[in-house]
Amino acid sequence: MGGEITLGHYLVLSGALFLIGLAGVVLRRSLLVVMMSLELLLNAANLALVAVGRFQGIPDPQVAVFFVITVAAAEAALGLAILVAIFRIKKTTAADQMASLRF
Amino acid sequence: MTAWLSPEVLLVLAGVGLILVDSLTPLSWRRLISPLAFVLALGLLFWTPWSSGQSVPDSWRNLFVSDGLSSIFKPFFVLCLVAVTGMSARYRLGTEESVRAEFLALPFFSTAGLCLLASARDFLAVFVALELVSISLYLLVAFHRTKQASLEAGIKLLVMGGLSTGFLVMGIAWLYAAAGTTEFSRLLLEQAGRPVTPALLLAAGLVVTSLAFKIAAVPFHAWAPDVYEGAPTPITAFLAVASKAAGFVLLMRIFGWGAFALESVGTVFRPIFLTMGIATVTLGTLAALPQRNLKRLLAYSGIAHAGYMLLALGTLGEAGMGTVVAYLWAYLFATLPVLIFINEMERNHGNADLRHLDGLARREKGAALGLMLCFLSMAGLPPLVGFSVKLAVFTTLWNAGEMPALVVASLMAVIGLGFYLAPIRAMYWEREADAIPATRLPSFLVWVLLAVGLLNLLLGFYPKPLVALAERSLAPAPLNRQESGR
Repeated sequence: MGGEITLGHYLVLSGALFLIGLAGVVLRRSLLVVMMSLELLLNAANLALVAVGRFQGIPDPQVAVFFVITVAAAEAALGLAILVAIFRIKKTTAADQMASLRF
Repeated sequence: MTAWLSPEVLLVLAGVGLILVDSLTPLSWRRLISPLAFVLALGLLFWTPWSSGQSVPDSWRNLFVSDGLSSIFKPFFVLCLVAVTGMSARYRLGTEESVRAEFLALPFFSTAGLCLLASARDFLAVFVALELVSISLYLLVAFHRTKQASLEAGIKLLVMGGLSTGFLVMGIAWLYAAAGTTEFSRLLLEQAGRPVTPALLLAAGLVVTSLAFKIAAVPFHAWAPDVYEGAPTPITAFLAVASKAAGFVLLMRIFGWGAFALESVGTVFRPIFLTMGIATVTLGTLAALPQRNLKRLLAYSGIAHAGYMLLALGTLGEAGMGTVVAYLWAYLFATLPVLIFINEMERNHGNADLRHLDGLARREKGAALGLMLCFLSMAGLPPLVGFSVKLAVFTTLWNAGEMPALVVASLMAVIGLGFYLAPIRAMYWEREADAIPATRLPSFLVWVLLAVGLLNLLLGFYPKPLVALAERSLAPAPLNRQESGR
């Protein structure tokens, strides 16, 4: 084959990463892995942003990536803080143990 | 008037000020922090209607807009903030009492985010504003670090919020791929007249998915009841009213005037909105029926209300948008008093179980009357305001010729009576259990509940102010005005 790597390739890769992240959030039972999957989701989007910026020759999407990275860091920091607090009480971070809110 | 006095700037300054006051003053002044926050919020409430109509400074004009919609919803969000700070003052933080200033300051930041969101005209601004709102809320929901329910609610909201963020960012990436810009009016101008591309539809779909999480529309509603129940009640109020309204304001802006307000996109999304609306109304109503916890009941009721608003919005016409504006205000006046009462209930009993309402009417006549009016308004009984706005939704659907949606919505409105009457029955007909004394309220709160309850009645008889608000939000075609202004 030996063709150029086009925008399409990047978008497919980013779409695949996005779906893997989505599956991770929905299916995994450890909240730590769920948080990792969330990061994967955001980074899939980042990849798409960077690729689009590069191929269309506009800087805006690549600037947007910095916003996303900052926000992802804030979210991760908060999420881990909550997880630590949960672990102190329950000694577990398994999602199916989070069952105190049921009617 | 300068832009430095815009509500957003003042909200952030007030939040920072609260934290500073808390850390710089002697410990014995700590108990003054709650009244201070409430007074600040109240002051902002009087200031916001004056300042939110002013024009945006030139350097920000590409990101933010000041129009009818934003100037109507900024006071809405600040009003929510007033209620939240007031409720926080009456909320027991237990072991977290030493960080009360943070608990009071974070809603200010979140409200600043909401006000920015109401003004945003670029998806990047939307993204940053939404995250300002969400990240403050994750922290607030999980604020009770020693209470399991609060932490679980926090992590649930964080995971769901993270998903929503992921969808939004992916949507933004695809918008760049499809159109090369994320600014609402430029998107609209560049796409007008062209055949719609799959990439643009994908982008719109991703953005709508992200917002569906925020308004708790089916199938992205599952987090709402759990998070509402676990969160500290003042924060539940913020989530239920302000955060939900923000999602709708944004949907209205992008589908009513900017970004996706295209005929070609509309034809694809109209059936999606209507189907989602029907599903949301149905699930919200049916799932609310067996609830015995007032907070969960309100969560499902909120889901059902979001469904009605989605149906009105789904017609994608001016009438639909106006209806959503009026509906959101009516929802605020009916829901906030109930949450204020739940806050007192939790202070008294530690939970929001429906049986704590038993026999309330005998002890607290005024409060029970106010609450009854609110519940009846939510149920949509005439002559309360809830009826007027539901009627507006049905009229919109009728005029748009959406008969299946109309039939389902009216059926669910009737079934919905069932669960709204449950708390009223408890208040007026049940006997107070000897072991559990009924909830007691301070007398000024009774007056607040009564006043807002009567406001529901008044607006039902005289809905002109709501109609005026709806008209003002639509009046100047906002995007045209900006284009000429640039």
